[in-house]
Amino acid sequence: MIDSLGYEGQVPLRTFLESDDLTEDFGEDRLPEPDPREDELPLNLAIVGFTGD
Amino acid sequence: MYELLLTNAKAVPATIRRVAVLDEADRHRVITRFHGRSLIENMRTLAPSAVENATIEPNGSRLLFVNLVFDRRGQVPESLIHRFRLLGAANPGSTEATPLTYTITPFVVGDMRPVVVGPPLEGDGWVTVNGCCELGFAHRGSVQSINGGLFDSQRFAIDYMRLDEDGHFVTGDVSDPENWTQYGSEVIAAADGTVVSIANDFPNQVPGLLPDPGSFDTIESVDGNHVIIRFGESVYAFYAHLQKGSVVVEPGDEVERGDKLGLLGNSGNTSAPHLHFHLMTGPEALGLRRHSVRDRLLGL
Repeated sequence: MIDSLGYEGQVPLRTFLESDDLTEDFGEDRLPEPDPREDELPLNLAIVGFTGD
Repeated sequence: MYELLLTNAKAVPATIRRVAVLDEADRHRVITRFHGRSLIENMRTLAPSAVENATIEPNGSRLLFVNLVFDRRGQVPESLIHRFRLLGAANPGSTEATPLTYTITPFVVGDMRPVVVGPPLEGDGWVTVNGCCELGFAHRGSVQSINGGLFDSQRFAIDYMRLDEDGHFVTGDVSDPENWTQYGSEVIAAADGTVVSIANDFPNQVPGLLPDPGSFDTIESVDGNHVIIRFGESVYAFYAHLQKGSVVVEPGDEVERGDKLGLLGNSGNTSAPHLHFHLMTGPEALGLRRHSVRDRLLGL
């Protein structure tokens, strides 16, 4: 787990799975502001920020 | 998270009908069940590939992937056991499958706590690609046959890639590593520790396709340029696929949290620039259990 991170949203699963070359826009579900989290393992396709240090 | 290795060592096909995960101390307490669709969806060949049914041919094996979720730590049993209902050979001389029930394969959960470290990267927009926990992505189910055993060392691993402000991993020619948002980002120590091993001379791969498996002659070459750091008693961190020549630490170096280790690259077995990061119980990247919660590969 990571002691401090900002949850910034989620890459859409379908867009990711259907992409051939990862050139699409994957940021449509990105949050306007990160949600601070502590002691979490970010799960698949989560968008996270590491700005605590 | 753990896996059950199911092997049919009899001469007739075995068909798994139901699997119940039980609290060993209270076998009336069912933690979860697999049957019908849930059984098929969580079963894989060793490759691993999806299966169409729960029948295991003679001399064949399957993996059953188990994820258990509890609301509170106090709900976690000290030990689990598994009840199988199946059609199979009752003894070595059987020529037809008959209904069988076994309650087997105890699994001590214990009180091991997840390891907590800092981030391996800096900045925002990082995407947890191939992260926990679904089957169908690269890490969960990446069971490797190493030194006579099966290891699912990467079950909690993460491939970090990065979005730019416009939501793109890559802009322009995808075969140029420089066009990927995350390429060249600084990789940092997630905790204070001691560098155990490095590699720094493997070339970048061309993004877009996985390299020819025949081009890798050692486990280390699969990892590409990498750093392994010991963070504490039986806790090691693995950083893989770094840029050639970018690793700035040497074995024996003491590092502090946040120290630069190298640059994110595209070396080793990789189809696009990313940082592969996972914690483990020893200094070997693939032939060990992944370190987070008690887990193991169990034989039936």
